[in-house]
Amino acid sequence: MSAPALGATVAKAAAPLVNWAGLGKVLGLAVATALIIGGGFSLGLAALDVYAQSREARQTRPGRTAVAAAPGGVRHASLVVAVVLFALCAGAVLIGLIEAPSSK
Amino acid sequence: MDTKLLVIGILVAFALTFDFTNGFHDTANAMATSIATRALPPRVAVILSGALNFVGAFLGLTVAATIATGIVDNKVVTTTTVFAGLVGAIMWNLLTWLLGLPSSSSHAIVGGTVGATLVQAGPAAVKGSGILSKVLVPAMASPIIAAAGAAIAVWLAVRLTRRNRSEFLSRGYRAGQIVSASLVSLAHGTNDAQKTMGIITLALVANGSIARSAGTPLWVVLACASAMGLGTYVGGWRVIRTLGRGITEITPQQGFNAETISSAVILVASHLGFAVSTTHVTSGSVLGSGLGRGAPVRWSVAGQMLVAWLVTLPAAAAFGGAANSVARAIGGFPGVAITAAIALVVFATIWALSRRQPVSAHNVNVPIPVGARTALAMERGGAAVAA
Repeated sequence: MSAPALGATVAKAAAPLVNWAGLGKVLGLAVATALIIGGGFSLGLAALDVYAQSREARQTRPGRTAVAAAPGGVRHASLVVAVVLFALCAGAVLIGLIEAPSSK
Repeated sequence: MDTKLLVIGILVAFALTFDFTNGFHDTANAMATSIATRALPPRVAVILSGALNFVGAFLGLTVAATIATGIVDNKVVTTTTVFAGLVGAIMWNLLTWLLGLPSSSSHAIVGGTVGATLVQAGPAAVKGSGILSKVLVPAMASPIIAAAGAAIAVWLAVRLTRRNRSEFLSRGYRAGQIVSASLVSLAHGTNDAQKTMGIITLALVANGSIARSAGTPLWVVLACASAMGLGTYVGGWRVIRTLGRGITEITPQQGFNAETISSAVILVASHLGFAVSTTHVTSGSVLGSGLGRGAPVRWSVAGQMLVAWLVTLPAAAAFGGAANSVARAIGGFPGVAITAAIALVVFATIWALSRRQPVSAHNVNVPIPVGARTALAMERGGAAVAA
Protein backbone atom coordinates (compact mmCIF):
# COMPACT_ATOMS: atom_id res chain seq x y z
CA MET A 1 0.00 0.00 0.00
CA SER A 2 1.37 3.45 -0.90
CA ALA A 3 2.01 6.04 1.80
CA PRO A 4 -0.88 8.36 0.77
CA ALA A 5 -3.26 5.40 0.60
CA LEU A 6 -2.10 4.19 4.01
CA GLY A 7 -2.52 7.71 5.40
CA ALA A 8 -6.02 7.94 3.99
CA THR A 9 -6.93 4.53 5.47
CA VAL A 10 -5.60 5.50 8.92
CA ALA A 11 -7.35 8.88 8.76
CA LYS A 12 -10.63 7.17 7.80
CA ALA A 13 -10.31 4.70 10.67
CA ALA A 14 -9.37 7.45 13.12
CA ALA A 15 -12.02 9.96 12.06
CA PRO A 16 -14.90 8.67 14.22
CA LEU A 17 -12.62 8.36 17.26
CA VAL A 18 -11.21 11.86 17.18
CA ASN A 19 -12.75 14.74 19.06
CA TRP A 20 -12.73 17.07 16.05
CA ALA A 21 -14.86 19.67 17.82
CA GLY A 22 -12.31 19.78 20.62
CA LEU A 23 -9.40 20.19 18.22
CA GLY A 24 -11.37 22.89 16.41
CA LYS A 25 -11.80 24.72 19.73
CA VAL A 26 -8.06 24.55 20.40
CA LEU A 27 -7.32 25.93 16.91
CA GLY A 28 -9.94 28.67 17.28
CA LEU A 29 -8.60 29.71 20.66
CA ALA A 30 -5.01 29.73 19.35
CA VAL A 31 -5.95 32.04 16.46
CA ALA A 32 -8.05 34.22 18.80
CA THR A 33 -5.09 34.47 21.19
CA ALA A 34 -2.80 35.43 18.31
CA LEU A 35 -5.18 38.19 17.23
CA ILE A 36 -6.34 39.50 20.60
CA ILE A 37 -3.30 39.11 22.85
CA GLY A 38 -0.51 38.98 20.23
CA GLY A 39 -2.00 41.76 18.11
CA GLY A 40 -3.36 43.75 21.06
CA PHE A 41 -0.07 43.79 22.96
CA SER A 42 1.91 44.74 19.85
CA LEU A 43 -0.46 47.54 18.94
CA GLY A 44 -0.39 48.68 22.56
CA LEU A 45 3.41 48.79 22.50
CA ALA A 46 3.36 50.68 19.20
CA ALA A 47 0.97 53.24 20.68
CA LEU A 48 3.08 53.53 23.83
CA ASP A 49 6.15 54.14 21.68
CA VAL A 50 4.37 56.99 19.86
CA TYR A 51 3.50 58.48 23.25
CA ALA A 52 7.04 58.02 24.59
CA GLN A 53 8.65 59.53 21.47
CA SER A 54 6.36 62.50 21.63
CA ARG A 55 7.15 63.04 25.32
CA GLU A 56 10.88 62.76 24.68
CA ALA A 57 10.63 65.24 21.81
CA ARG A 58 8.85 67.78 24.03
CA GLN A 59 11.52 67.39 26.69
CA THR A 60 14.49 67.70 24.30
CA ARG A 61 16.76 70.50 25.44
CA PRO A 62 17.93 73.26 23.07
CA GLY A 63 21.00 72.28 21.07
CA ARG A 64 20.03 68.60 20.94
CA THR A 65 18.52 66.93 17.90
CA ALA A 66 14.78 67.07 18.32
CA VAL A 67 12.24 64.67 16.89
CA ALA A 68 9.01 66.29 15.73
CA ALA A 69 6.59 66.08 18.64
CA ALA A 70 3.12 64.78 17.91
CA PRO A 71 0.24 67.15 18.69
CA GLY A 72 -1.06 66.90 22.26
CA GLY A 73 -4.25 65.15 21.12
CA VAL A 74 -2.35 62.43 19.31
CA ARG A 75 -0.02 61.98 22.27
CA HIS A 76 -2.84 61.51 24.75
CA ALA A 77 -4.83 59.34 22.37
CA SER A 78 -1.79 57.06 21.99
CA LEU A 79 -1.56 56.65 25.74
CA VAL A 80 -5.26 55.86 26.02
CA VAL A 81 -5.06 53.31 23.17
CA ALA A 82 -2.03 51.64 24.82
CA VAL A 83 -3.73 51.44 28.22
CA VAL A 84 -6.97 50.07 26.72
CA LEU A 85 -5.11 47.43 24.68
CA PHE A 86 -2.93 46.30 27.60
CA ALA A 87 -6.10 46.08 29.74
CA LEU A 88 -7.73 44.00 27.00
CA CYS A 89 -4.74 41.61 27.01
CA ALA A 90 -4.79 41.35 30.81
CA GLY A 91 -8.53 40.69 30.74
CA ALA A 92 -8.15 37.97 28.11
CA VAL A 93 -5.40 36.29 30.16
CA LEU A 94 -7.51 36.42 33.33
CA ILE A 95 -10.55 34.96 31.56
CA GLY A 96 -8.34 32.20 30.15
CA LEU A 97 -6.91 31.39 33.57
CA ILE A 98 -10.33 31.30 35.21
CA GLU A 99 -12.07 29.33 32.46
CA ALA A 100 -9.45 26.87 31.21
CA PRO A 101 -8.40 24.93 34.33
CA SER A 102 -11.95 24.27 35.55
CA SER A 103 -12.92 20.69 34.78
CA LYS A 104 -15.26 19.82 31.93
CA MET B 1 7.14 -5.37 56.27
CA ASP B 2 4.51 -6.29 53.67
CA THR B 3 6.30 -6.69 50.30
CA LYS B 4 3.28 -5.27 48.46
CA LEU B 5 3.76 -2.06 50.39
CA LEU B 6 7.48 -2.04 49.52
CA VAL B 7 6.64 -2.41 45.84
CA ILE B 8 4.21 0.51 46.09
CA GLY B 9 6.91 2.52 47.85
CA ILE B 10 9.42 1.86 45.03
CA LEU B 11 6.77 2.65 42.46
CA VAL B 12 5.84 5.98 44.05
CA ALA B 13 9.56 6.85 44.31
CA PHE B 14 10.01 6.13 40.58
CA ALA B 15 6.83 8.04 39.74
CA LEU B 16 8.14 11.08 41.58
CA THR B 17 11.53 10.62 39.89
CA PHE B 18 9.70 10.66 36.57
CA ASP B 19 7.92 13.84 37.61
CA PHE B 20 11.27 15.35 38.57
CA THR B 21 12.79 14.45 35.17
CA ASN B 22 9.65 15.77 33.50
CA GLY B 23 10.07 19.07 35.32
CA PHE B 24 13.72 19.51 34.52
CA HIS B 25 13.36 18.21 30.97
CA ASP B 26 10.48 20.61 30.34
CA THR B 27 11.75 23.78 32.04
CA ALA B 28 12.79 24.66 28.52
CA ASN B 29 9.18 24.76 27.39
CA ALA B 30 8.41 27.71 29.60
CA MET B 31 11.66 29.51 30.02
CA ALA B 32 13.95 28.79 27.03
CA THR B 33 12.82 31.78 25.00
CA SER B 34 12.88 34.15 27.99
CA ILE B 35 16.42 33.03 28.84
CA ALA B 36 17.51 33.28 25.19
CA THR B 37 16.18 36.84 24.85
CA ARG B 38 17.54 37.73 28.32
CA ALA B 39 14.09 38.75 29.49
CA LEU B 40 14.91 36.87 32.68
CA PRO B 41 18.24 35.83 34.21
CA PRO B 42 18.55 32.00 33.98
CA ARG B 43 18.38 31.33 37.73
CA VAL B 44 15.42 33.65 38.28
CA ALA B 45 13.65 31.99 35.33
CA VAL B 46 13.89 28.48 36.77
CA ILE B 47 12.86 29.59 40.28
CA LEU B 48 9.79 31.37 38.87
CA SER B 49 8.97 28.41 36.65
CA GLY B 50 9.34 25.91 39.50
CA ALA B 51 7.00 27.87 41.75
CA LEU B 52 4.36 28.26 39.02
CA ASN B 53 4.56 24.59 38.05
CA PHE B 54 3.82 23.76 41.69
CA VAL B 55 0.77 26.04 41.70
CA GLY B 56 -0.41 24.80 38.28
CA ALA B 57 -0.51 21.20 39.49
CA PHE B 58 -3.48 22.06 41.71
CA LEU B 59 -5.58 23.66 38.99
CA GLY B 60 -7.40 20.66 37.50
CA LEU B 61 -7.41 16.88 37.17
CA THR B 62 -8.92 16.21 33.72
CA VAL B 63 -5.64 14.99 32.21
CA ALA B 64 -4.91 12.76 35.23
CA ALA B 65 -8.18 11.00 34.51
CA THR B 66 -7.20 10.55 30.84
CA ILE B 67 -3.91 8.87 31.75
CA ALA B 68 -5.42 6.75 34.52
CA THR B 69 -8.32 5.40 32.53
CA GLY B 70 -7.93 6.08 28.82
CA ILE B 71 -4.73 4.33 27.71
CA VAL B 72 -4.69 0.77 29.01
CA ASP B 73 -7.22 -1.56 30.61
CA ASN B 74 -6.54 -0.89 34.29
CA LYS B 75 -8.17 -4.20 35.28
CA VAL B 76 -5.10 -6.11 34.01
CA VAL B 77 -2.49 -3.62 35.13
CA THR B 78 -0.42 -4.56 38.17
CA THR B 79 1.90 -2.40 40.25
CA THR B 80 4.85 -4.08 38.49
CA THR B 81 3.43 -3.02 35.12
CA VAL B 82 3.13 0.59 36.22
CA PHE B 83 6.63 0.52 37.72
CA ALA B 84 8.12 -0.88 34.49
CA GLY B 85 6.33 1.78 32.47
CA LEU B 86 7.91 4.46 34.64
CA VAL B 87 11.38 2.94 34.19
CA GLY B 88 10.91 3.11 30.40
CA ALA B 89 9.72 6.72 30.54
CA ILE B 90 12.54 7.93 32.81
CA MET B 91 15.10 6.14 30.64
CA TRP B 92 13.85 7.93 27.52
CA ASN B 93 13.62 11.30 29.29
CA LEU B 94 17.23 11.01 30.46
CA LEU B 95 18.54 9.86 27.07
CA THR B 96 16.88 12.74 25.23
CA TRP B 97 18.04 15.17 27.92
CA LEU B 98 21.61 13.91 27.42
CA LEU B 99 21.28 14.69 23.70
CA GLY B 100 19.60 18.03 24.45
CA LEU B 101 16.47 17.01 22.54
CA PRO B 102 13.14 18.43 23.69
CA SER B 103 11.13 15.20 23.36
CA SER B 104 7.76 14.62 24.99
CA SER B 105 7.61 13.34 28.56
CA SER B 106 3.91 12.70 27.99
CA HIS B 107 4.61 10.33 25.13
CA ALA B 108 7.38 8.72 27.15
CA ILE B 109 5.02 7.85 29.99
CA VAL B 110 2.30 6.66 27.62
CA GLY B 111 4.85 4.58 25.65
CA GLY B 112 6.41 3.09 28.77
CA THR B 113 3.02 2.12 30.17
CA VAL B 114 1.86 0.65 26.87
CA GLY B 115 5.09 -1.39 26.46
CA ALA B 116 4.89 -2.78 29.98
CA THR B 117 1.19 -3.61 29.53
CA LEU B 118 1.88 -5.40 26.23
CA VAL B 119 4.37 -7.66 28.03
CA GLN B 120 1.93 -8.09 30.92
CA ALA B 121 -1.31 -8.91 29.14
CA GLY B 122 -0.88 -8.65 25.37
CA PRO B 123 -2.36 -6.21 22.82
CA ALA B 124 -5.96 -6.68 24.00
CA ALA B 125 -5.18 -4.74 27.19
CA VAL B 126 -4.09 -1.65 25.28
CA LYS B 127 -6.86 0.79 24.39
CA GLY B 128 -5.83 1.61 20.83
CA SER B 129 -8.74 3.96 20.29
CA GLY B 130 -7.94 5.84 23.51
CA ILE B 131 -4.29 6.26 22.52
CA LEU B 132 -5.28 7.43 19.05
CA SER B 133 -7.97 9.89 20.06
CA LYS B 134 -6.60 11.20 23.35
CA VAL B 135 -2.85 11.11 22.71
CA LEU B 136 -1.67 10.57 19.13
CA VAL B 137 -4.02 12.88 17.23
CA PRO B 138 -3.66 15.77 19.71
CA ALA B 139 0.11 15.18 19.69
CA MET B 140 0.25 15.51 15.91
CA ALA B 141 -2.24 18.38 15.74
CA SER B 142 -1.04 20.50 18.68
CA PRO B 143 2.39 21.55 17.31
CA ILE B 144 0.81 22.42 13.96
CA ILE B 145 -1.88 24.50 15.70
CA ALA B 146 0.73 26.17 17.91
CA ALA B 147 3.01 26.89 14.94
CA ALA B 148 0.11 28.40 12.98
CA GLY B 149 -0.99 30.55 15.93
CA ALA B 150 2.55 31.78 16.64
CA ALA B 151 3.22 32.49 12.96
CA ILE B 152 0.02 34.57 12.73
CA ALA B 153 0.84 36.42 15.97
CA VAL B 154 4.42 37.25 14.95
CA TRP B 155 3.45 38.15 11.37
CA LEU B 156 0.83 40.54 12.78
CA ALA B 157 3.21 41.94 15.41
CA VAL B 158 5.94 42.65 12.85
CA ARG B 159 3.51 44.57 10.69
CA LEU B 160 1.88 46.50 13.52
CA THR B 161 5.21 47.68 14.93
CA ARG B 162 7.39 48.20 11.84
CA ARG B 163 7.46 52.00 12.30
CA ASN B 164 8.44 51.84 15.96
CA ARG B 165 11.85 51.87 17.62
CA SER B 166 13.21 48.36 17.95
CA GLU B 167 14.94 49.05 21.28
CA PHE B 168 11.71 50.34 22.82
CA LEU B 169 9.80 47.34 21.48
CA SER B 170 12.40 44.89 22.78
CA ARG B 171 12.10 46.34 26.28
CA GLY B 172 8.31 46.08 26.11
CA TYR B 173 8.26 42.53 24.78
CA ARG B 174 10.84 41.44 27.38
CA ALA B 175 8.53 42.76 30.11
CA GLY B 176 5.63 40.92 28.46
CA GLN B 177 7.70 37.74 28.35
CA ILE B 178 7.84 37.62 32.15
CA VAL B 179 4.05 37.21 32.14
CA SER B 180 3.85 34.96 29.07
CA ALA B 181 6.61 32.61 30.30
CA SER B 182 4.88 32.44 33.68
CA LEU B 183 1.68 31.43 31.93
CA VAL B 184 3.47 28.56 30.15
CA SER B 185 4.88 27.35 33.49
CA LEU B 186 1.42 27.45 35.02
CA ALA B 187 -0.04 25.62 32.03
CA HIS B 188 2.75 23.04 32.20
CA GLY B 189 1.92 22.39 35.85
CA THR B 190 -1.77 21.90 35.08
CA ASN B 191 -1.00 19.48 32.23
CA ASP B 192 2.15 17.53 33.06
CA ALA B 193 2.09 17.08 36.85
CA GLN B 194 -1.30 15.48 36.39
CA LYS B 195 0.10 12.71 34.23
CA THR B 196 2.15 11.35 37.13
CA MET B 197 -0.82 11.79 39.41
CA GLY B 198 -2.73 9.60 36.99
CA ILE B 199 0.02 6.97 37.02
CA ILE B 200 0.20 6.81 40.82
CA THR B 201 -3.59 6.67 41.00
CA LEU B 202 -3.51 3.78 38.51
CA ALA B 203 -1.00 1.93 40.72
CA LEU B 204 -3.02 2.55 43.88
CA VAL B 205 -6.11 1.19 42.13
CA ALA B 206 -4.13 -1.83 40.87
CA ASN B 207 -2.91 -2.49 44.43
CA GLY B 208 -6.39 -2.17 45.88
CA SER B 209 -5.31 0.79 48.02
CA ILE B 210 -8.14 2.95 46.65
CA ALA B 211 -11.41 2.16 44.86
CA ARG B 212 -11.55 2.19 41.05
CA SER B 213 -13.99 5.09 41.18
CA ALA B 214 -11.92 7.09 43.66
CA GLY B 215 -10.35 10.37 42.63
CA THR B 216 -6.70 11.36 42.95
CA PRO B 217 -5.74 11.52 46.67
CA LEU B 218 -4.51 14.89 47.97
CA TRP B 219 -1.10 13.54 49.05
CA VAL B 220 -0.50 12.39 45.46
CA VAL B 221 -1.30 15.88 44.16
CA LEU B 222 1.04 17.47 46.74
CA ALA B 223 3.92 15.05 46.12
CA CYS B 224 3.69 15.37 42.33
CA ALA B 225 3.48 19.16 42.45
CA SER B 226 6.59 19.25 44.66
CA ALA B 227 8.61 16.85 42.47
CA MET B 228 7.67 18.77 39.33
CA GLY B 229 8.50 22.13 40.92
CA LEU B 230 11.86 20.86 42.19
CA GLY B 231 12.78 19.33 38.83
CA THR B 232 11.91 22.58 37.08
CA TYR B 233 14.04 24.54 39.54
CA VAL B 234 17.07 22.31 38.87
CA GLY B 235 16.64 23.22 35.20
CA GLY B 236 17.40 21.06 32.19
CA TRP B 237 19.90 23.45 30.66
CA ARG B 238 20.72 21.14 27.73
CA VAL B 239 17.13 21.22 26.45
CA ILE B 240 16.77 24.93 27.28
CA ARG B 241 19.75 25.59 25.00
CA THR B 242 18.28 23.62 22.11
CA LEU B 243 14.86 25.22 22.32
CA GLY B 244 16.10 28.74 23.08
CA ARG B 245 18.99 28.94 20.62
CA GLY B 246 18.98 25.80 18.49
CA ILE B 247 15.88 26.09 16.31
CA THR B 248 15.99 29.77 15.40
CA GLU B 249 17.44 32.98 16.81
CA ILE B 250 14.64 34.36 18.92
CA THR B 251 13.82 38.03 19.38
CA PRO B 252 11.78 39.21 22.40
CA GLN B 253 8.88 39.82 20.00
CA GLN B 254 8.95 36.17 18.89
CA GLY B 255 9.48 34.91 22.43
CA PHE B 256 6.47 36.77 23.79
CA ASN B 257 4.16 35.58 21.02
CA ALA B 258 5.44 31.98 21.06
CA GLU B 259 4.95 31.72 24.82
CA THR B 260 1.48 33.31 24.72
CA ILE B 261 0.27 30.91 22.03
CA SER B 262 1.84 27.92 23.83
CA SER B 263 0.07 28.68 27.07
CA ALA B 264 -3.27 29.16 25.30
CA VAL B 265 -2.99 25.84 23.44
CA ILE B 266 -1.85 23.89 26.55
CA LEU B 267 -4.54 25.37 28.82
CA VAL B 268 -7.38 24.76 26.35
CA ALA B 269 -6.14 21.24 25.57
CA SER B 270 -5.88 20.44 29.31
CA HIS B 271 -9.40 21.75 29.80
CA LEU B 272 -10.65 19.33 27.12
CA GLY B 273 -8.74 16.36 28.60
CA PHE B 274 -6.24 16.04 25.72
CA ALA B 275 -2.89 14.79 27.02
CA VAL B 276 -0.92 17.13 24.74
CA SER B 277 2.84 17.37 24.98
CA THR B 278 3.92 20.81 26.18
CA THR B 279 7.22 20.07 24.42
CA HIS B 280 5.50 19.63 21.07
CA VAL B 281 3.37 22.72 21.60
CA THR B 282 6.25 25.02 22.58
CA SER B 283 8.55 23.64 19.87
CA GLY B 284 5.77 24.27 17.34
CA SER B 285 5.31 27.82 18.65
CA VAL B 286 9.03 28.60 18.49
CA LEU B 287 9.23 27.24 14.93
CA GLY B 288 6.08 29.16 13.93
CA SER B 289 7.43 32.37 15.44
CA GLY B 290 10.57 32.01 13.31
CA LEU B 291 8.52 31.44 10.18
CA GLY B 292 6.24 34.39 11.01
CA ARG B 293 9.25 36.74 11.13
CA GLY B 294 10.91 35.16 8.12
CA ALA B 295 13.91 34.24 10.30
CA PRO B 296 16.21 31.38 9.30
CA VAL B 297 15.30 28.06 10.93
CA ARG B 298 17.99 25.47 11.77
CA TRP B 299 16.26 22.57 10.03
CA SER B 300 18.94 20.04 11.07
CA VAL B 301 18.04 20.59 14.73
CA ALA B 302 14.31 20.63 13.89
CA GLY B 303 14.81 17.34 12.03
CA GLN B 304 16.56 15.73 15.03
CA MET B 305 13.66 16.81 17.21
CA LEU B 306 11.11 15.38 14.79
CA VAL B 307 12.92 12.03 14.76
CA ALA B 308 13.00 12.04 18.58
CA TRP B 309 9.25 12.75 18.63
CA LEU B 310 8.50 9.88 16.25
CA VAL B 311 10.72 7.45 18.14
CA THR B 312 9.58 8.43 21.66
CA LEU B 313 6.48 6.23 21.88
CA PRO B 314 8.06 3.00 20.53
CA ALA B 315 11.40 3.57 22.31
CA ALA B 316 9.80 4.20 25.70
CA ALA B 317 7.52 1.21 25.04
CA ALA B 318 10.58 -0.96 24.34
CA PHE B 319 12.30 0.19 27.56
CA GLY B 320 9.09 -0.31 29.54
CA GLY B 321 8.54 -3.74 28.02
CA ALA B 322 12.14 -4.76 28.76
CA ALA B 323 11.89 -3.57 32.36
CA ASN B 324 8.66 -5.54 32.85
CA SER B 325 10.21 -8.64 31.28
CA VAL B 326 13.13 -8.53 33.75
CA ALA B 327 10.84 -7.87 36.72
CA ARG B 328 8.49 -10.70 35.74
CA ALA B 329 11.30 -13.15 34.99
CA ILE B 330 12.67 -12.74 38.53
CA GLY B 331 9.21 -12.34 40.00
CA GLY B 332 7.65 -10.69 43.03
CA PHE B 333 9.37 -8.09 45.15
CA PRO B 334 12.93 -9.22 44.21
CA GLY B 335 12.04 -8.69 40.55
CA VAL B 336 10.95 -5.09 41.15
CA ALA B 337 13.89 -4.37 43.48
CA ILE B 338 16.54 -5.74 41.06
CA THR B 339 14.98 -3.95 38.07
CA ALA B 340 14.98 -0.74 40.11
CA ALA B 341 18.66 -1.23 41.00
CA ILE B 342 19.62 -1.85 37.34
CA ALA B 343 17.63 1.22 36.30
CA LEU B 344 19.36 3.39 38.89
CA VAL B 345 22.79 2.29 37.61
CA VAL B 346 21.77 3.22 34.04
CA PHE B 347 20.37 6.59 35.19
CA ALA B 348 23.63 7.34 37.03
CA THR B 349 25.66 6.40 33.93
CA ILE B 350 23.64 8.81 31.77
CA TRP B 351 24.17 11.54 34.36
CA ALA B 352 27.93 10.83 34.37
CA LEU B 353 28.03 11.01 30.55
CA SER B 354 26.36 14.42 30.64
CA ARG B 355 29.27 15.77 32.74
CA ARG B 356 31.62 15.36 29.75
CA GLN B 357 29.90 18.25 28.01
CA PRO B 358 28.15 20.21 30.75
CA VAL B 359 25.55 22.88 30.02
CA SER B 360 24.58 25.16 32.89
CA ALA B 361 23.12 28.56 33.68
CA HIS B 362 26.58 29.99 32.93
CA ASN B 363 26.98 28.78 29.34
CA VAL B 364 23.40 28.15 28.19
CA ASN B 365 23.43 31.29 26.01
CA VAL B 366 26.86 30.80 24.39
CA PRO B 367 26.32 31.11 20.59
CA ILE B 368 26.13 27.98 18.44
CA PRO B 369 28.97 27.80 15.87
CA VAL B 370 27.99 28.23 12.24
CA GLY B 371 27.38 24.85 10.60
CA ALA B 372 27.05 22.94 13.90
CA ARG B 373 24.81 19.91 13.63
CA THR B 374 23.77 19.93 17.29
CA ALA B 375 22.54 22.73 19.51
CA LEU B 376 24.91 21.56 22.28
CA ALA B 377 27.90 22.71 20.25
CA MET B 378 29.39 25.95 21.59
CA GLU B 379 31.62 28.64 20.18
CA ARG B 380 35.10 28.72 21.69
CA GLY B 381 35.04 30.69 24.91
CA GLY B 382 31.97 28.80 26.19
CA ALA B 383 32.39 26.50 29.17
CA ALA B 384 32.31 23.49 26.88
CA VAL B 385 33.23 23.02 23.25
CA ALA B 386 31.64 20.26 21.24
CA ALA B 387 33.64 18.23 18.76
